[in-house]
Formats: sequence, structure tokens, C-alpha cells
Amino acid sequence: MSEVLGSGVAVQAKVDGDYITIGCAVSCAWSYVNEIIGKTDVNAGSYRKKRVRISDVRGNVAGVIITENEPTRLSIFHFLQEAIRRSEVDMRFLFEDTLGTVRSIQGMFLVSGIDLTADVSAFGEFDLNLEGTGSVSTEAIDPPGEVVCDEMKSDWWVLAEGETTISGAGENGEFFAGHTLLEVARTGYAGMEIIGSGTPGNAQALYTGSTTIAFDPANPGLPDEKIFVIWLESDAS
Amino acid sequence: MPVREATYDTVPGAYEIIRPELAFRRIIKVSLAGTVYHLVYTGEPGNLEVLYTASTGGFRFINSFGYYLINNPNAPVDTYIKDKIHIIWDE
Repeated sequence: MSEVLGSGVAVQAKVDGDYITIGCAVSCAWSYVNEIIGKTDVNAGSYRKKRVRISDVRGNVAGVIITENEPTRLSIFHFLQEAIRRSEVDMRFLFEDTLGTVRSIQGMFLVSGIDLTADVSAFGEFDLNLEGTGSVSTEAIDPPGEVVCDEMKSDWWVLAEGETTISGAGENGEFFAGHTLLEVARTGYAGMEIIGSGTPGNAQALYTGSTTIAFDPANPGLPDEKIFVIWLESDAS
Repeated sequence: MPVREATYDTVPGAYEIIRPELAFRRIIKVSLAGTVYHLVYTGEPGNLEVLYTASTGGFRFINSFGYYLINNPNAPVDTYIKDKIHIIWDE
């Protein structure tokens, strides 16, 4: 999961084939409103049914006034030009998350209002209000992935006398290989510490995710010694 | 079912470990020094019981933690191994 920070949001207008950011913007907003109206069907006498009629889109950008257009920054005065302020403008809102994934909402907008304000002790500021005309488009977004359900399993093995490892199928035919171990219990000791590397010491079990669980070389298996293992298997594995 | 496990060191003489990351979790199993303990959630822990305090992630036992001695002929001094606690929980 990655979040979109306010600094990752930009509003751009298309000029001569290129989208250019409106700047220096400090805040922006985009809204979509559906007009909900009544609907009639066979059950409408018992419960009010509704549907969407017409949708409206609005946008707003506010920021610090700059006087000149730059290759990557568009001045608010661009939108005050007669040909711009009275025409549809192709614009898009960009949302970039902290991992760099970008989503965009693109559509045609009309300038519904421009406010320019200035205080003697601060930057001059603009407020550009936009009214959508026509539809908006955005990229398709993948549906949520399937929930992976883990299944907990267990089995037991005989640790042969003098041996320090177990592998293969357990006494009930189960395999822990490649799965996530939760519990390794050796006769007389439950809850051994599961380590992923190094040499196992006393009360430790070495499991690297492969086919073997290894135990302390200084404590090989005793007669009739058993190992009990609990592990998680996921649907994906 | 995101079930996890971990092993924690103890301090000899103490009765409790506090693991804030285990606060408000569903604890499945607690074993201390190789023995599985019965989980209780109120009152005082009895013999072979561990009191789990969800608000803090605390695990308290009736007896203090200890250690055992490994007499290693290859080491210049004996090695003391502290009791360890192994916990399985559901995230």
C-alpha cells in the first residue's frame, strides 16, 4: 500500500499538445457529483428506487501568482486570455503516490471563476475555479487481488538416534518444506527457537525454508525421540 | 489468517515480558523454556499459567525466569543460557 501525499497531486492544462502544470499551486481540489433521481419499477411502490441522471465535475486550483509561463509552469494569466477563459480547456489532475505510481483524471473544463488576491506582507495568490464539460476519463484500475488463505498444518517425525536433522514426509504424510514454520517441538521441549541461518544451538531449530530442519549438533537424537512441527501453507504456495 | 511466531529472551529473576507489538493480538500458544503454558486473561497466573495483558502486550508468569548451565568442555567458562519464551499469535 502506498499513499498519495498532497505534494504528489498536480493540475495540468494542455497547451500546444503538452500538459503543463499550473503553478505555483499550493492546493487543489476535484469533485464529482451525481444527480440522483427517482426511478420506477415493479417494486417502486414499496421502496423508493433511484438512479443516476446527470454527473457534474468541478475543480479548483489555488496558488502563488507567477507572471510568465515557463516550460514546466503555467501562469494564472494564461487563463485570463480571451481565447482561453472562454473556451474549453483540456485538463488533467495527477495523483502520484509515494512509490511513483500515477493516476490521472482527464477531462474538458471551462473557467468558471478566477480570483486574484494580494496582501502587502505575502505573496499574491490566485484561485482558479473550473467547471467540467462533458465526460471525464481515468485509467482502468486492477480489481483487488484474491485473499490468500493460509492453512495451518502439523505432523510429527522420528528423530533417529544419533541424527540431528529431519526431512521428507512426516508420519502422517505431510511436508513442511517451503512453508512457514510456527512451532518446532522436540521431545521434552516445546517451542524451540526457529532460526534461519547459522548453527543451531541448544533449544534451537535451523530452518532455511528448504526441506530440512536441523538441530543442535551437540544434542543428536536419543532413542524414540520425536519432533512435532506446525506450519502455515498458503494457497499460493 | 496471518499467524506469526517469535522467540524472546528473558531476564533471569523477572516474572514478565512486555512486547508492545503483541498488544491486542489473539495469542495462540505460549511456551517458556520448553513447556507450554495455559493462557489466562484475568486474575493472577497460577502454576503452568501465563497471564496475557492485551493492553500492554504483557506475559506474566508465577515463577521468575531462570537459566540453565551448559558445561562446555571447549569453552573457558561455563555458558549460561537464559530461559526463552516462544509465542504464536494471530495478527
